[in-house]
Amino acid sequence: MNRAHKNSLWLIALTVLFALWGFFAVQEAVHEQATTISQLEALTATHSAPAVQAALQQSKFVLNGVRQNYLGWFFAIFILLIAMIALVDFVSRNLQRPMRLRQVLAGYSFVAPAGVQLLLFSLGPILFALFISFHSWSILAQEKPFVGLDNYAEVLGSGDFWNSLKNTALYTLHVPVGMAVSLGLALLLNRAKLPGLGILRTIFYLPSITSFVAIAIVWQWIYNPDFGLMNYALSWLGLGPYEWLHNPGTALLSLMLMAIWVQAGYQMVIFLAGLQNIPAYLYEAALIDGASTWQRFRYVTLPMLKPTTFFVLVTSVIGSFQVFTQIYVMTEGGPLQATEVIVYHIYKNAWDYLRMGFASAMSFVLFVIIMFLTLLQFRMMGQRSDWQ
Amino acid sequence: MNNKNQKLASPGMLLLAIALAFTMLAPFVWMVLTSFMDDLEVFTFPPKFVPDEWLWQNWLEALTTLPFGRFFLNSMLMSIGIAIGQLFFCSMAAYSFARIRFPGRDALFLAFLSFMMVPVIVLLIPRFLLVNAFGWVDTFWALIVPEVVSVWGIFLLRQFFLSLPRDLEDAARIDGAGEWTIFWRIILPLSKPALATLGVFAFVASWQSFLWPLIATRSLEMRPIEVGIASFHSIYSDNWPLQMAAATAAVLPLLVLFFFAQRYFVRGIALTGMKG
Repeated sequence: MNRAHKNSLWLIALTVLFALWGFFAVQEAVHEQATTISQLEALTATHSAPAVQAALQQSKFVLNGVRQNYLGWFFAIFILLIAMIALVDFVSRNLQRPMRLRQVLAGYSFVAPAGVQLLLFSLGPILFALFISFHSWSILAQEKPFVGLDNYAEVLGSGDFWNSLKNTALYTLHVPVGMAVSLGLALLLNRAKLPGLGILRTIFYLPSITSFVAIAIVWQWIYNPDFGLMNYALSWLGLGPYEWLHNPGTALLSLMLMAIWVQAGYQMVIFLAGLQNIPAYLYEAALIDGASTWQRFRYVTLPMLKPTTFFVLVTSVIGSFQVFTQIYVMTEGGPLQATEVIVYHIYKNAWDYLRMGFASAMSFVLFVIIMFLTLLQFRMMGQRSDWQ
Repeated sequence: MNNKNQKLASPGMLLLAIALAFTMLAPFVWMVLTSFMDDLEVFTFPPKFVPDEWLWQNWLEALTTLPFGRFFLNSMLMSIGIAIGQLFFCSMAAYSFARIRFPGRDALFLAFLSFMMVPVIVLLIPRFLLVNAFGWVDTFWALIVPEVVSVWGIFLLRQFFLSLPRDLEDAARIDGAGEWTIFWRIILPLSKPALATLGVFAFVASWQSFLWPLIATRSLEMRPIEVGIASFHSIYSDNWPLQMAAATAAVLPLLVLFFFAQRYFVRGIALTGMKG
């Protein structure tokens, strides 16, 4: 047995000792508080003075805190020790191969900063959200009882949840329409030599890099039923006036129209990049074979653009399912919950009604939906790959 | 298609392009024009486009009723902090994934990528509770630290690092350079365009972020500009010229950045796997 092995044995022993100490320390602290609580409870049975009640609540709160704090620290240090054991063990077993050892250590240490951040601010929170979703959890309440699957059952039985899901799905229908528009724009800019192409591209791209809140404010004014630009423009065509955001029948449609305007330029630049990657000889070959403009588009451009289209579709659908800012600024989910999309609904439940367990359960349902949609799109695009 | 095959645009096409450009620009132009109008002047139909009198004091009033300078500073510090953080964390991780061979690398990379599917709303509540436990609510820590790693950024830089030639690196390795020297002295200087792209994207995305800053800050002094103008919007909901002035003020910094860094935006789109 070499020295490094002895080191890892020492660490294992230390971990076991630490585990034992942590266990007894928590037991001790919990026991102390529990004694206070039972004494206070005995007191409340005879005296129902508010001071005693308050003390009882306080003790229960401390008990909760003790459990959470001790367990949290205990868990963190425990994981750290196990990681150290793994490290020492690995180093000791590879001392004979210094090159490999150096590579592996360098590899993991370069990933470590990002890895630790993701562990703390993404993976940990996801697991914690799952934990919360099984509890009746409010940030203000001291008691956060375990309720099993009750939150999920409530989500699936909630009319408001289904309404918000329906609104989100309807809203997402703007994605294919918007993509057709941006593809059209890209074809237009790619096809012919336009003077000032760079400027045009900049102009189309503007909305997606500016402040979303500012855009939402401007469009709310544009959609004003009495003095807005939209009704004015339509009056030239003899249409309107419409109530836009003030009518439950048109509010969501107005937001979809605005979303197309915002995203058209961004998607167009992506499509342009895709179009420019299509080799010219394909078009030349199609021309020699006597293909019409439409046939060239249908049998050369579209299939060659498939990876680009796929990328735009997946990212836009995922983005559309998480729309929030416009709703918050322009409609607050109204009128009559006609624009209450799912993320806004979750936000309201978590921060206005302080129902964080219920909101977490909803966010996990959304997570599953988004994962399912992404996989579905992968499947659909995969099956049609034969026409490439 | 190369340039030889391109015909000069027909007049019809040109008109269509101009009409479309006009559609994209009109809301912005209207925003700026309205910001100079009298607050009653806007309530006319058909709408006015040129103000009777250019009221510069609208801007003064809009920018001083709420601490706009402070909002601007907050957004600036937050966005720069996040951009620098992402450049640091993402380039290190990307270097490891692209250039160092170690067991479990590909599995770890896949695990990283899977975070891209997680909707932000799932993280919102637990991240707030975590930040609250650290005592970070209403500080720059809360605004910056949760955002300093972007899986998309790691992916982008990894793709770029993979495309760099290995010759220089091998030569340095023979000379006995360590991984850190190779990363810092060779890879990073060669990757300036990709780093600039990630930096610009991170900056703009942070400037535009709304939901997290809305929750992570409480006091007016800590609000970034997006959350700031949203509160301005609800306070001055009837005074459209002032709102438009505030909105224009929020848009301007991004416009300036965009005009200087436009090529990095376009390159970023070309870099994210658009090669099919």
